Amino acid sequence: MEQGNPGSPMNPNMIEEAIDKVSAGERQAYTTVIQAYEKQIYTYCFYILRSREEAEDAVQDIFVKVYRELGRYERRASFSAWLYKIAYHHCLDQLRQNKRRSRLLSLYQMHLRDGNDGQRDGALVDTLFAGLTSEESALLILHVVEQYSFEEMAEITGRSPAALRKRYERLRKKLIQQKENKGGYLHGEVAEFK
Amino acid sequence: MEKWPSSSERHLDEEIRRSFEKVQLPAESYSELIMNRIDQTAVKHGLLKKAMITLSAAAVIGICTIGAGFVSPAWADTLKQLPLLGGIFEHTEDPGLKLAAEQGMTTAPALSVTQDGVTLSITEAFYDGTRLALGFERSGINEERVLAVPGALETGGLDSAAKGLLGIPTVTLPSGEPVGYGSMSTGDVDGQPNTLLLELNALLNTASYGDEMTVNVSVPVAQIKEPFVFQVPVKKVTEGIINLSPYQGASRDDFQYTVTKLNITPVSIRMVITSTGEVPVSPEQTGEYAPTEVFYELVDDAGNIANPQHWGYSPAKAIRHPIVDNLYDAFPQVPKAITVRPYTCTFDGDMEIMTDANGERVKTYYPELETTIVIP
Repeated sequence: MEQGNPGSPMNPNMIEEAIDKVSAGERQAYTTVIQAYEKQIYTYCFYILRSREEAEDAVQDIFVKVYRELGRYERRASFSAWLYKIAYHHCLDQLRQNKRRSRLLSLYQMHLRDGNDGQRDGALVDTLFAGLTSEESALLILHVVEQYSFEEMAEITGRSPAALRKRYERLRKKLIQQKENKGGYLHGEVAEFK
Repeated sequence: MEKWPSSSERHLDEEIRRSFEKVQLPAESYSELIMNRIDQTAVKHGLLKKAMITLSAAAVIGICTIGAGFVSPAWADTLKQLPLLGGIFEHTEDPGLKLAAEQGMTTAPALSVTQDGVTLSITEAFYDGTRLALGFERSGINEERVLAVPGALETGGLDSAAKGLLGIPTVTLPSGEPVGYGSMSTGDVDGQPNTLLLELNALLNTASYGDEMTVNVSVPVAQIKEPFVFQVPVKKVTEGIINLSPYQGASRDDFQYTVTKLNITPVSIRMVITSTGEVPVSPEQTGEYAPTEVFYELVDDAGNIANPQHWGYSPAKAIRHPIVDNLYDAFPQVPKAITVRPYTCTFDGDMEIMTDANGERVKTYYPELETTIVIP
């Protein structure tokens, strides 16, 4: 059940057209690309880095990097998959460089404390994500939210489709178990967490 | 073959997607910041320790007047209102600002505002019609970082939790109009704790500002409700300013450029060039290789070479820039003549700029495109 156009918030032809314009020297056309993808890339980075501040920096760094590397973009993969690939590796590099897990944890806890009832659904997902590694979060977003196939995800992450599928299945079980342990679903409805 | 998802799994997926959708960007868009960062690829290495932000606007070409001579020590003494010991400008790696500080071409407004235990002072100012630079010092707060993440204060981002972090200053004229500029940089100065340097470069339409003016400077500070507001008297360095409109250039095949503006001040040179036609291509820049955009190097009559302060490049083959507005460091002496030496660099098949054994970019010059401007 893959979508026809995973990862793309708008007509991919418009994106390809904008990229052509940038390559031809119409630098300003790149704003079309940024505005099309910045929200989803920010959110992706946020769930991997668990820091709003670092996600803000990351989304800017990623789009600058993408612009500089546009000449390397091969159209055999979708632009969004290529963008996610750069974002994925940028975030992992960032995590490796930072080595500040305790700070990330405290920032994350601060974020949770700031939540209110109106953000209950978000808090629920945060709770689910809280037990995941950054790579698991990335995996979940790529497959559930962006609906990439395991083959496409393999392109993005550099791992084999089989390994990703296996990991994803384990992750699903973990999430369902985690949810049920916390009082999860009742008669097929989402239980409300306070 | 995948299993049909259970009801629980479907709900889980829907929940995750909904929550993903609900996450809001802290800012309306980052496109302007990103585009400006792309414009200013070449950062002045070492000048700004971290969180350097650059913003730029379209270049506007104005009409210029001519002055003459360089600043005298006596005049410099009168300009320097208060003695400065080890000021912010002297510690930057920007040779123009260092020179300005060393030669007494800066002023010391000594303005301070204190709110809720945080004191912010403007200790140095420099203005030459091309550049406005302000040095800030912060005290009363024990916070290592100086500059907040861009936009964090406005959006209630995490940086608003660290009291005393400074937002981007805004500079306006007494009329309330913002001071127009081609590029702006803000950052803390390496090795100088609690300092902030603001530079507005390639200022626009400054002829109407006069030689003396007062600008309003407003700085948002984390956890303090009202911004810190200053009225800063600014005095233009007028000696040693040479403003030319040479309308001189050269052509090669269908590429043609014209130097429309050359502003020489004691601390910097600003050159505006317009060009038409395709970027010239040398035989070595064919096949998998390709030329970059055209860069413009300046050479004075003593053979000193100056390159633009922001030496970035666009990652596209032979990209054309119809208007180029560059700022260069000043030459050691007032030149009698300046030769404009256009060149391109070369992209390899991976779109990397080719470098020599020393890591320096390989440049392809076009002698027929050189033009020499006599400085009166």
